[in-house]
Amino acid sequence: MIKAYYRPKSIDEALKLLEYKTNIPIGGGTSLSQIKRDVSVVDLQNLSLNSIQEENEIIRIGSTTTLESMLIYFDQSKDIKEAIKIEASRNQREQITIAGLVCASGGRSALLTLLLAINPIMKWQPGNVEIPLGEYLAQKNYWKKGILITDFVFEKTVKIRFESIGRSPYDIPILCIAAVKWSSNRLRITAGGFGDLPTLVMDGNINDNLELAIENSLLAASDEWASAEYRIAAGKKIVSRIKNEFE
Amino acid sequence: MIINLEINHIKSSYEVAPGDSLLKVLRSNGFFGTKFGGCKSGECGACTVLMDGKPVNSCSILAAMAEGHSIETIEGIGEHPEQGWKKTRGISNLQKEFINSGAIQCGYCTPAMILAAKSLLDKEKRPSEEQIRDSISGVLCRCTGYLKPVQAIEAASGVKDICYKPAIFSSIEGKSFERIGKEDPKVDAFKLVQGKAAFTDDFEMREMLYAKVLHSPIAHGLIKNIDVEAAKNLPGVRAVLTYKDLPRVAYSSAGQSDPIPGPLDMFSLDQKVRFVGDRVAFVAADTEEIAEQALKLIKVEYEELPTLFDSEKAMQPGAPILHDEPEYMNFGDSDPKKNLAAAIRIDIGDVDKGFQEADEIFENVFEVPKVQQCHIEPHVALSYWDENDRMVIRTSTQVPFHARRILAPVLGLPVKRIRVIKPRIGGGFGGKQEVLIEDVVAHLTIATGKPVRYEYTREEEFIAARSRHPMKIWMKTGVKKDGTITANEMKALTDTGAYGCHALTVTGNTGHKAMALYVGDGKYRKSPNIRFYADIVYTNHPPAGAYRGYGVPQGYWAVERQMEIIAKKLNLDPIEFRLKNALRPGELHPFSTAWSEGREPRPETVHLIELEKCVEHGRKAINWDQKFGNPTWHTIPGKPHLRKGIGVALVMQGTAIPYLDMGGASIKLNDDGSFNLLIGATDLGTGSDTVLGQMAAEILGVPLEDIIVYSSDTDFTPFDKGAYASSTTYISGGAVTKAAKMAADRIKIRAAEMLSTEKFAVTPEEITLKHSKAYAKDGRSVTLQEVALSTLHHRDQEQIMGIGSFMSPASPPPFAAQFAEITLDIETGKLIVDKLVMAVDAGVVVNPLTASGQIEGGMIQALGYAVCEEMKYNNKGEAREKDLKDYHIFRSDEVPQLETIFVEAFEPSHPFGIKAVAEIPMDGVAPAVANAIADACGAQLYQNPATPERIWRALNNIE
Repeated sequence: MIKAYYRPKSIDEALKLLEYKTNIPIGGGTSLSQIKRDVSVVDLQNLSLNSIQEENEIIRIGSTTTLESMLIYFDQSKDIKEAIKIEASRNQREQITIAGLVCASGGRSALLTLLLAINPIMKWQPGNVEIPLGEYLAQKNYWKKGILITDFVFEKTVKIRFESIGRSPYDIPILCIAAVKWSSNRLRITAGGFGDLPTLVMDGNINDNLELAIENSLLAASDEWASAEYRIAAGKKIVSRIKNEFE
Repeated sequence: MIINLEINHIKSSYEVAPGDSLLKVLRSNGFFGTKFGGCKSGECGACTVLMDGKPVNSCSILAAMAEGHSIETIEGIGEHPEQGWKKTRGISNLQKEFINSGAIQCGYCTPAMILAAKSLLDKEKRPSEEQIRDSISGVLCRCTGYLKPVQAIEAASGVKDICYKPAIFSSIEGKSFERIGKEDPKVDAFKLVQGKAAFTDDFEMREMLYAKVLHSPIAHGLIKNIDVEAAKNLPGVRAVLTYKDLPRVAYSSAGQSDPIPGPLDMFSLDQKVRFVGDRVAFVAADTEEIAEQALKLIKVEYEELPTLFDSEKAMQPGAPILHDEPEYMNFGDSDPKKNLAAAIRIDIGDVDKGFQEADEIFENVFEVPKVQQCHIEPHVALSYWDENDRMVIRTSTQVPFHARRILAPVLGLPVKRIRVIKPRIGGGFGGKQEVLIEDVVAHLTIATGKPVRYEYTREEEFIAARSRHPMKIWMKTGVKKDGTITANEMKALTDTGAYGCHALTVTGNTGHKAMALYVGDGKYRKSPNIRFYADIVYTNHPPAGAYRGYGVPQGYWAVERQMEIIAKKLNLDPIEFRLKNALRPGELHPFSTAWSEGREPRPETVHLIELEKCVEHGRKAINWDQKFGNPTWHTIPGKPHLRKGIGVALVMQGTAIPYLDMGGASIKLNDDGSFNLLIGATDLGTGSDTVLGQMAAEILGVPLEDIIVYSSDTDFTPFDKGAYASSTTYISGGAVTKAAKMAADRIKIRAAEMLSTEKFAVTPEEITLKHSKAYAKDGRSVTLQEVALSTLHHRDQEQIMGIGSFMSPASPPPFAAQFAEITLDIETGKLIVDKLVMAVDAGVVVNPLTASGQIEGGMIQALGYAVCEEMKYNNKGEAREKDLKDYHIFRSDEVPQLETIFVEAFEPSHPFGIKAVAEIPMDGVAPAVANAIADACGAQLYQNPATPERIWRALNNIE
């Protein structure tokens, strides 16, 4: 139950409020129904953290940037658009923020799977912490509460591929694969559509054995939505296609 | 806390709790156009408002978060242009186009769609179709299939001229109608497009209490102890009821005619729970939050009993018995000692001989899943004692009269002391052909003396409402080499869940409709050999019930897959093979000699069958002849992993239940020449009020706007059995026709008197009613207003009125050809359905807009059944799907191209030549899609939905 509502005007004010264990930050509000305990909410909408800025080779996305703003910004990237549209319908995109998505989503999230492949640098306060998203997710429950995510920093020059298999075009994925390739031939592949969090399939080189990597990653990916056997078979086909496209 | 909100450009202060959603604050302040869809995380979008011009879900935004922003609700968009002396700006262009296009069915999501579309049009004057579909993708609609809303937005933006009328190929000659066949706007469209307080929950009463139900967490058990003291002592709690408090009355929640054709096996509250979600206790409290808190304080000690989830084990010796209560009342062959809720054994002709005469026998096993109706308005009811101490129940029901009759013994009240009011319904699809929660509120009103309101959450819809019956179906078909079917056999095993609601009749229809289409050819045509056996068994799953199609989609999955497999194996053209064996005009409905929903069967000849024309027009529309069997078309250059496929399914449904379904209507003339039409029929969004109004208008010679339609209220409107069995247009329409004719006859008598002079006597037979006037042969006329004033006020005063009721000995089936075109990833099983075409023989089309809306919306519902909808349970009986995220229904931006074609002909058993149209679109999509998959890659599916993994397994022959 929500006992109190705060709308801080500055990051310092927000940080002070978030020092209290029962105070939790909210962005768009879409995860409010998941709150089962007594809490106070700290609404971040007045902190001006909702902008997207390009700086040389990077894109800086503020933590309260909505998925709709991201969709508009990444209009020319069909793969990113696809992942966002699978993630959320029009209304939800106006509410879900990138930080909210990172904090509240799980392994079945299309966009979190893609973000994990891109692996942006997350920044938060206090402490000016900068950490790759992958590292944050890997230790999600370790980080102390009370942090305020401010930015996500993306590299601009990467190539991105995303493919999702669902029961309909915008269904929650049964399996989705995201791949990001750097000009150095570094290739980072992630898989989602199951589990608590998306899975890092590999972070290596395009010439690595991708099929073996995906098979190893999906060996235990059986759940009520699909078998690991199927996910492995489909995953191999997708990574093979992605490799061909990148080559 | 006090917050300042700007709503529709008016700033006001509101006192709210920190956790109050914007939706709650809006609705509690009279903005009823913002609807609740049962969810709290914005899955359905019925609660859409604009915040600073952008669409957001008000259920998942705190009211406090909206402070400082501009909120727009539907109430700020437009209003009725005629408000007496007050001039208004009228409704907006967007709202007008929603009305004109037929984009409104139940209207529950309409305000949300209009707001979402407004947000787009405010910044994009000429949007693309993709942008339009994206703009409303946050608003789930279960009625329309989204085509007409998209067209309405296109028209409002001026992007293109839209022709809303579907293709109609008519063979009717010599009949011309003024109103029948016209695209009249829906009679309720104006209020729905404004988001008026028309639905059950848009009505509040002083001292109203909120109900909540404690649902069982276990699948099978006895309540050993239940302690409600802490809950009762919670401040704000007004009543807590358990099985100890209520009389033990066995009933069936199935909203059907008397006697209910199924066992009486339910109690409002029982000591035994039979599925996860079953009722344990009722609570009434001052607020929903208190009621929810009280549920947590009820302590229940269960003795867990062995569970039964596998329908194939239900009748085996030693299986756990679900119903051992002494009050259980059998119907037909039900036998609770065997977990048997119903059984059917139908043999037509000599089936075994037919198999002996076959050249080949095909045997296959099919399986269909449990699926949910997903009406966007949840089940909701409100009850109160009126000033005469009569129990009034305002409820979102398809069956108000059945509800009254069924509730009477349960509540310990005579029928005459119960009044059921049905306001607008936000979709039903069979889910509200159930007396599901009306007893909850009524018991709590009896306990407290207060008005009580109860609305399901979306999770409750999934765990504690009804669903389509899942079935396992064995098919055996004997065929000669030339494609003549010599015998056809179906055996169905149906899982009815914990209670036997609709158990017999749903499964009966599986055979009655799906197995009736193919009778064979040659001598078999005169004497078909058909067998249909079914066992409908209890398990510890949530109960199934009525769902649009009512057992027939299950049957056609098996039959139409079987036909495709046979055609392929015998190298026969799939369409020619089907038509060779299909029922033809003038032949007996084969099942009419053997079965009628547990009542006496009476042979019925089917006179009108336009199936061949449906095939002709449908195959042309989808370009079948250029695609089927053409290897070039099946591949996509540069995409070696993709294959195209095309499939067909032929189907027939029913139109009402003969010798049983009855509807009544009354009509009266008003001072100004308008009429009040009172009908017991329940328009659940289908447009039945409109088409019934059109029939009355046709006979009385007035525009539809002069027919004021009211449905339905058990105190004020005549009886109608309710909205199910594809019967309203046909049955209730027959009643309206009779009532209107009676009124028209009286008008003609009085008009003849008024037009007669000393020199010229005019007889009533000479009078024609047209353009709101009564015309004599010589062209002289009196207006209906003059007739009304004369008869009500001036001389020989009388109230001109008519009454009528209609029951039919016939149930003329509609027929259809369903086509599907798909693209399949043969490496992963990922499926995209590109196009659905349905050509329908539904007799005369009363209103092309509402009729095509039924087909479009039905096809998209059926597409869910085909590819993505399925309710599954773990080994404890807990549901996998509890929301509209996991249970995916199609969004506006992912539906395939839709095309509806009507093949129109006059059905002789009805005064206006009509047949049904509402349920048939549910029947053919799933098998047509699966047949298209087989066409694309050879994979044969035996189980729907066609999920990627099932397709992949079929492709690779992996069990």
